[in-house]
Amino acid sequence: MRTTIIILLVLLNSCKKINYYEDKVINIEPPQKIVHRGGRSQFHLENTLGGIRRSLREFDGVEVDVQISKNETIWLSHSSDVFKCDKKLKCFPETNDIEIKSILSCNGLDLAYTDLESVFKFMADSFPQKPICIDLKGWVPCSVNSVDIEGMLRREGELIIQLAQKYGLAKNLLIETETASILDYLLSKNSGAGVYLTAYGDFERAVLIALKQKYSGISFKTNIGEKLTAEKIELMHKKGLKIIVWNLQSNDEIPFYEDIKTDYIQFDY
Amino acid sequence: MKKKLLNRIFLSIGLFSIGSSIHAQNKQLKLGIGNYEGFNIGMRHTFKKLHFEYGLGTDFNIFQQGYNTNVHVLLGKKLFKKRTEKDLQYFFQFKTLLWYIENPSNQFLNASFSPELMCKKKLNDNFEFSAYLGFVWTTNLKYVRKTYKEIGFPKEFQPGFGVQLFYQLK
Repeated sequence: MRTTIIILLVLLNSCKKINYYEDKVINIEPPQKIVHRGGRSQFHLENTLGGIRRSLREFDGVEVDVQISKNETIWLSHSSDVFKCDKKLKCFPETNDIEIKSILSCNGLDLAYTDLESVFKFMADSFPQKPICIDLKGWVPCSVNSVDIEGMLRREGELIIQLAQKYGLAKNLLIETETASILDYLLSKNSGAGVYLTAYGDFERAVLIALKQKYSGISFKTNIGEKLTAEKIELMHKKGLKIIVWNLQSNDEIPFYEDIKTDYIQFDY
Repeated sequence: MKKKLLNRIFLSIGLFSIGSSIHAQNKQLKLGIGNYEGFNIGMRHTFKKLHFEYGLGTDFNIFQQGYNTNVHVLLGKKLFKKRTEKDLQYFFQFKTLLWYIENPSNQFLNASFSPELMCKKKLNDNFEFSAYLGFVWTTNLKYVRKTYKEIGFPKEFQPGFGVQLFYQLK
């Protein structure tokens, strides 16, 4: 009897052929301004502790790009290659910490790389409530030793979460990457960190993947592909997703993204 | 050998399109209802070892997900040569559906593929009844958003089932 009822219920349920996602209630806050690339400006190079300090003092949060070294230390860098002045050395996964730390200045200009732990220490001491977006970047392998990009990115994500947990900042993390399998892996860690799928203008596809895989939201490159509207953002919020926007052409665009109620707006000084 | 076989296939398809067949033992008109086919009408051509079926269907939006229309074709093969005591015959079928669904929020064009088991019983000289159960895999071919009220996509794996009544034409 029970089997018959179960079979009937399965069959009845299969009459509906489109799966519409259920509405979810999430805490929607006013849009937060996130300073892009660790607050690069005329005073600070991108992804440096100096720029991050200034950004966090003046705005709601900061975004940084990260790379993993041969010693599994997380360093801030947009490029996957280590640079000494204008000279390109090896890629980060094949460079050890001593080599990275030895790069201090170029023609009197401070060029020292910042490690993520220093940023977390500063945040834990001074701004323990502010969000930090972490852009997990892939790389072009510089030899066979750095060919396992996905495996190393997983390890990188895992280490970032462990570091954030050490400083009580796991819930402040907004991890963004275009590789869905990395986000799936990080989501399985149940750390409370937000995971965001990077989308290059393909809003519809990214939202569907984010809903299907239960991500926190999407990190959307603006000024390319689909245009964002208030009703798109409303639909995302209704379904429990958040959105980070980036690639603003100028800061004059910020009021528009505030008006349509995006969650995080990445901008440059 | 291959060329001969291809010629035979193309000839068969051509003859179907004008309503005839080189080997069809009989033709039947079908009326049916299924979770994917909806209320459907079509034809079945039975050969010595295989049967071929095609039809059109709609669900008249009874599942409240939008007006669904579809075309479907299938090829089936008898599983056992002898009929059972209850005069039942069992078949393996492979079905392909092309279905379109539209509602206030979205338009979807999908293709579904389903291996299924069909059981048929002869009611009298003119009518036959059949029921089938299968496993449907669906892929979305085209998606158009109309409003931003809802978001969803076709379920990828589902059971497929239905019943059909056949009327002997010749």
